[in-house]
Amino acid sequence: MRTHAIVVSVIALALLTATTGHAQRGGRAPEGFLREGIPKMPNPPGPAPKRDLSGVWVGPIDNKPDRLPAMTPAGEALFKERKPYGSASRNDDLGASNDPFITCDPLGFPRNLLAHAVSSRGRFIFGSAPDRLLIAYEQQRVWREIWTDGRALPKAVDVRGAPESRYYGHSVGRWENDSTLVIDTTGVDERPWLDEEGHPRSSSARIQERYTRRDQYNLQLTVTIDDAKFYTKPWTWMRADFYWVQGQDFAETICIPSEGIEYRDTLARPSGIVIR
Amino acid sequence: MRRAWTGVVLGVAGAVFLSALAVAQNSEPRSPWKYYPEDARKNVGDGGPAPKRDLTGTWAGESSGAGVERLVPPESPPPLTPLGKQLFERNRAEGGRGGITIAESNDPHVRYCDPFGFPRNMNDQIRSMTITTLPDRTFVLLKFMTIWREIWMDGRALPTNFSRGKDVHDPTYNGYSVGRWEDDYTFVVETTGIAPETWATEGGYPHSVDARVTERFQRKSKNDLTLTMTMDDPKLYTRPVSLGVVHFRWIPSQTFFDFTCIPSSVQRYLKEMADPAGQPNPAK
Repeated sequence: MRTHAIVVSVIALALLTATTGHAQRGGRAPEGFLREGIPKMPNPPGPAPKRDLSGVWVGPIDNKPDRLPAMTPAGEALFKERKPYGSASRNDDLGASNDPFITCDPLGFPRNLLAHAVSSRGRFIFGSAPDRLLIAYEQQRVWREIWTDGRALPKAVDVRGAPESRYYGHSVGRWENDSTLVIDTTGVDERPWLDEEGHPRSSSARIQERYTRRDQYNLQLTVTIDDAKFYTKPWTWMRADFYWVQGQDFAETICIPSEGIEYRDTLARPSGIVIR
Repeated sequence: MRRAWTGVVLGVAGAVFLSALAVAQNSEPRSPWKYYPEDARKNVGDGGPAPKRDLTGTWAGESSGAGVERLVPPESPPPLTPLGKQLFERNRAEGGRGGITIAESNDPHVRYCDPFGFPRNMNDQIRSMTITTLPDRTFVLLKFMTIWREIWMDGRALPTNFSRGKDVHDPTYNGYSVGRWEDDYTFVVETTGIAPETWATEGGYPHSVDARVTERFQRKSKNDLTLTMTMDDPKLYTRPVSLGVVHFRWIPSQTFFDFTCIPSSVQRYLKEMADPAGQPNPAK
């Protein structure tokens, strides 16, 4: 199987992801590695350069989110319609799923931060263009743009005069200090799930990422979500570390729809596993 | 002929364009988050000299609504070897051979939204691209499918082994790319190791994993960028084949809208509309 064709078995992948995630938490990293699959940089980290996150980072590592708050009735209603697969399944029928990622539909933001590669980690790189930062992700090879020209976020989407919602939302960013970049996002397309369990997020949600570069090799990310349409209070959805990638390279990790659909139709369904 | 599903989506995009025009006519406040194609069309002229060794920014292509025209289509007919001809005949491009329907097509993108892969993603559905350069590489970020390519500029050589053994490299959808400035306004990119199941063009031109594609980005002014593409693939073509010349214009607002093929939507469309409507014709 080639590295970019990750969708031979999304269900197996989910199980693998869960297993690997467990190993990350409980296992000991091999010699020379920060964690399994993450080579430790040979030198001690130097100080963080000022207002600079450029480079390739891998994570999330040791994610410690808050407990999910109670959902509103609207959130509960949507959540009940969703049938996650694998270890995230809420019933005994592990294969019965309507997760959009089964057919390789876009993961959307912020679910794309929860990497679905076998290692359960992904990589991203920061770049720049006039008036904005760019973030390119290894998983699905998608990218986002973060406007830094002082504009305000759109107050609404998908209504007259307003922009359309987007899978990865509309984002603005600012440096809070020399080592902390704050990104605010709203206007996400509501079709993608928030996570593998199928929790919803609305187009009016405000999602804030805080990237703090502690030193040359270590980056902390905190993601908070304020979504009054679907949740009763804001919460910290991700609190994790990212590490500098030795070699600064990427694999090509793309979910291929024809392979996902072929798996569903020729292996999963005939085996009694129901996926959509 | 455009793809049926694309037509549906284009209809939506057209509505977006029209609503943008209506907004302009009604003098409603402009949103910095929206792309207004008429603004891009009004941006006539060259805008002054091109900056040196700099392609950074967001550009509009032929499917942007900004009035940008393709300069040269892919060479037709392609100069195929017997093996190339055999592979080309397997590829049933929508609209080809007297009107292959979407139901009859085996285009992996049309049927499934599979990634175009390179070089098709640089010569089909050219809507908008953003370019950014880091110290060791340049990124081309495409709005169609929201995907990106990386082009190494650190002097490394392209890999050559994509089959088996030591130092083998997996073929990838976007291939392996290296770039260099030929002069202050011409950026040349070489790419190989492209997954052979992808098509090189919308018309179904095949390519092997050893194909070598050369892109020449020429920035002729602040507002004009031209991309010339040539593919050298001796297994499948008797000589290097032109994949055409596409033109890009600088977008003053640097903003564009998302445009993505959604696999589940396409499956539903094929099941409910396109496949029932298009009866396979063995003669095509």
